[in-house]
Amino acid sequence: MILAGTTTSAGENSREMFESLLKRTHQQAFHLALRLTGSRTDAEDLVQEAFLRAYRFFHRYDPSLPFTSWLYRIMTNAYIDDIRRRGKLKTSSLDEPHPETGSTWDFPDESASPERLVMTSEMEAEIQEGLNRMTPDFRVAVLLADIEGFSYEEVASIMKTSIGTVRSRIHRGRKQLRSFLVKAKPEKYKGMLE
Amino acid sequence: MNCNFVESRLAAYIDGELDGVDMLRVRSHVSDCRQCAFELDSLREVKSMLGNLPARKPADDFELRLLNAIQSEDSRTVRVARGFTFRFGWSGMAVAAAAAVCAVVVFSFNRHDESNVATAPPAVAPREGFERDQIYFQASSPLSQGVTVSYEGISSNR
Ligand SMILES: [Zn+2]
Repeated sequence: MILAGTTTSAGENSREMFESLLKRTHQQAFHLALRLTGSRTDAEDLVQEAFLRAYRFFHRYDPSLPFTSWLYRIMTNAYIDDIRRRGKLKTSSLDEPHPETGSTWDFPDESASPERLVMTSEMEAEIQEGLNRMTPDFRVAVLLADIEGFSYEEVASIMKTSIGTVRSRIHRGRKQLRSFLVKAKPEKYKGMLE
Repeated sequence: MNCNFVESRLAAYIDGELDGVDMLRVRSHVSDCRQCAFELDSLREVKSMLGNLPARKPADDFELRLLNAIQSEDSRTVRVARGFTFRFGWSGMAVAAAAAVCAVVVFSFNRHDESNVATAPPAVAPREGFERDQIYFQASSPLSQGVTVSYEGISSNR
């Protein structure tokens, strides 16, 4: 019963509008998706799925709200759905050292004070690994706040939850990341714990 | 003001998400409590590490691939927002339904005597008052999975 064919001028207009929003937001959406999934391929798939869903329901988009808030709601929902479907909602791996981030790197001069840590590509990989092992709901909240700079109220609206829950997820998520880093690379990050 | 109360609010304190009273409470506590002050610095560092992650860009052709995906979505389905198409579709369906009933009746006349005509299925007229997207989309929201063309699930959507 799907009707194929005709395109009205109203349809053309909304497609033009959608395409212009897509062009403006897809890079940022990719970066968020990359940090969420930890993989470029998964990030591209997730962003494409989010844009397709957004396009199908573009007639429901309220233009008085930022497009990215709406898009990220769709994207993070698709992401959490996917994880639940695959039964990956576990955090126990936080306690296991990552096979690839063993203890081969040594940055003795950086261990004394956390303020002096400078972002290196190794560090980016370690933080990403910590994100990958974070509880998914915490990861979404932390990334929306710390990568995208959304307020707790905006995160709550995107995640359809209360501000209190957002506050707790962000707090616990950041602590999970810190625990992972300290366990994975104690010589580098132990200064972050007393 | 105990350490547990303060500790549970440190992230919100860092993010400027506490109300004025709690903000002052936490500030005053960490100025006196070495342990909470350390925790505050450490959690601040976690936040800044995340904020300093370099922005990674997608492949050069990613935008084009997205636009193509949108285009093929468009040619696959006339989206439900187009009321004209829908109304045409519905009246077309009504005509088709009426034609089907006629066919059944004619078919019955041809094959059976008149007493059997009474058992022909009743004409089922399309119910009025449905919104068009209820008919075409089982998933009524971009937050749910996929698109299914089906009558099932209509009532659960509203
Ligand atoms: Zn304290």
